[in-house]
Amino acid sequence: MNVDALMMAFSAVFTPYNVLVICGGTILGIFIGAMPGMSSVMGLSIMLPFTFQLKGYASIMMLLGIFCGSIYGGSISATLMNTPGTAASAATCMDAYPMAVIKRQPGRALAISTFSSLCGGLFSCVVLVFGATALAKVALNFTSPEYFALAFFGISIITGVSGKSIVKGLMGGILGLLFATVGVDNFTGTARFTFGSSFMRGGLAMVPILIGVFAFAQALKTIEEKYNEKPFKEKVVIERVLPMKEDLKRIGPTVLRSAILGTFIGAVPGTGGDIASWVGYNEAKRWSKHKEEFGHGAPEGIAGSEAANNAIAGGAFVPLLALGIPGDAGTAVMLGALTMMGIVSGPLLFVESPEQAYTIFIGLFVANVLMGVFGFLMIRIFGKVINIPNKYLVPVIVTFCITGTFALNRYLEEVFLMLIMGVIGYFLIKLEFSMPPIILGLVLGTLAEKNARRGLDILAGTDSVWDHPIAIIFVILGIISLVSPAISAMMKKRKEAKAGGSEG
Amino acid sequence: MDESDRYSACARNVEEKQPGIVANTSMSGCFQYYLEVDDCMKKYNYIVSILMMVLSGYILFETGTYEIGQSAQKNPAVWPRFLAVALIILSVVLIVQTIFSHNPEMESFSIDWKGTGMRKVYIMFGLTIGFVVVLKVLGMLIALLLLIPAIEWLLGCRSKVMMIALPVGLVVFVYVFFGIIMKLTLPGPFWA
Repeated sequence: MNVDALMMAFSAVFTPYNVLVICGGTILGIFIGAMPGMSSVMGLSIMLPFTFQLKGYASIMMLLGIFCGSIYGGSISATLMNTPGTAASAATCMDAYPMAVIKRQPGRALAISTFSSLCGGLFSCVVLVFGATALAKVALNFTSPEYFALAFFGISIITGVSGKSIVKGLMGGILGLLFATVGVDNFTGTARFTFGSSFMRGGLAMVPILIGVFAFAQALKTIEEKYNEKPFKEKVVIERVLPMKEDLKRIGPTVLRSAILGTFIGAVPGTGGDIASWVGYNEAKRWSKHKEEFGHGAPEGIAGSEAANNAIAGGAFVPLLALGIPGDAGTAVMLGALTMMGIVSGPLLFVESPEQAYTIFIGLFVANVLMGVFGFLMIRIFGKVINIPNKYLVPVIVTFCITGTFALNRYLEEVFLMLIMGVIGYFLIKLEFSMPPIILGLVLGTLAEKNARRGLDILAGTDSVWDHPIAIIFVILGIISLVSPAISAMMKKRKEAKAGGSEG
Repeated sequence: MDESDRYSACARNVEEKQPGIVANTSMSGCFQYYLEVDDCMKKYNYIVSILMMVLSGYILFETGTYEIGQSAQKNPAVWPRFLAVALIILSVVLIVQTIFSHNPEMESFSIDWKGTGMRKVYIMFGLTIGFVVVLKVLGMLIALLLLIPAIEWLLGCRSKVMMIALPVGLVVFVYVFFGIIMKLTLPGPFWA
């Protein structure tokens, strides 16, 4: 470990300005996550343009705060309203809501969820420090074929985030890759798919597309589905904000197990908090001595899902920082932010700018600590905030979409692009297309094309495919990642058919 | 398929899926049901596949006009063409998958294009176009001041206080945060 770089990172993070910015980002993230319908990706997308106005590392610090805060925030509405703020909090509803509402112990449920989230997040940060560096050492030998194979591996996770149809997920991924080809070609200077527009020559900016397909499309969906929604009326009484000793004893092993699982799942590109939380919940149930309590307010159930879904934060940063591959849609936005900040994530980050990598580690650690502190402090007021009706929430989201997009490059054309992409995204969602593949294609498109073309020329020369074992490994992993969801879906169908047959 | 074929096809569907309706099903009612069943994901999958193929065809056509060098690096068409071919293959796969699919979810899926929710979305599209025009003429702040209460109204808000307080509050926030703190020049009215 480079001690000088670590000290530089400490001094970069622990300035009053940066700590204040992380605090702001974390609080904002918690509120974003707590609002049903607003995901961490949406929060990051909306706030991304704003953060570029901040000085130095402050923009990254704010995004880290939002990232951590929003993952945790999703559990609040899940606990109090049985409405997961984010997909990753769906498993939390299973036991947190019965404890909070049926057992009338909302403070206890929120305290367990906050404590578990804090532990999961901190554990994954520690793993990040060691895991990312080890991966970076391996990745140092990368040339164009390896980079292309890596991009292919990144793109291959599309099938895992395809939603209902893998074919449509792959189509979405290709659309994203095609969006990335718009503009002047880096090698030849040829204008591609620009339709004579000078705005298009610079390529399609990523952020307006991100905001369009995630936030604006979601706003349109909310208008369609919840146009006449009545405000929530449940009154919640918060009686305690810190976990009890008995609960801590009971959930300790579950928290550790879920933190390990969540970190590992987070480090595998294409997975995310939603998968991690269900795996964590299932394992908590499998190992529990009180299985009968699950579904009726078991503390292990809350701890199992929350520790796992917060542990993905650190886990997802391992491939992001060490290899430049976003593990999920949230880290895809983070990758975009890092690139725009001039921080090139990948193996060279640890060699050329270790202080930047350590700054991100420490920032994430601090964001997790603050997430816990604010989580406990704000438990009493959460109940009131999440009751904002959609008729007020949607105009706020649309306003942030518009002003946020404009703030990025100050081009009105980008606002129009965001609105158009939002409408396209809305119809694609209606036709059961999943949005993350499009974003993954867009984010990894340039890297994939550049290195595919370079790689082809290298392989046409003196090099053979067998001179690049790392590339071969990534291609094999990519193929496995590409086909495994389809195979597991087929196996599940067969099992169901068998079960149906035996019942009949 | 003439109307009697449609009727028997429909009656089969009704019998299989909603047995209770069969006794009361008239010819016109059954035809309506047939049309509803027809408006399923299968139809949209075919439309999507055709649109993707058209897009791929355009990509192949446009990349055919590029100047191409000897190596891959000097060939700006190689990557988009590869993607276009992959998109055509996937479109064919989607069509084949749709033809042979027996997924009941795919049969029961329908989009109510004329429902109240969709009409609200169409109005939102109109508001968005109106917003773009107003944005160009009167600037960001005035356009937002008009758009925000319009969305509130669209979502069922009838409180005059909230329809004034929220837009004013948000516009003040935007002006203070972007205009003053971030020193961002927001698009102003055409006369400014």
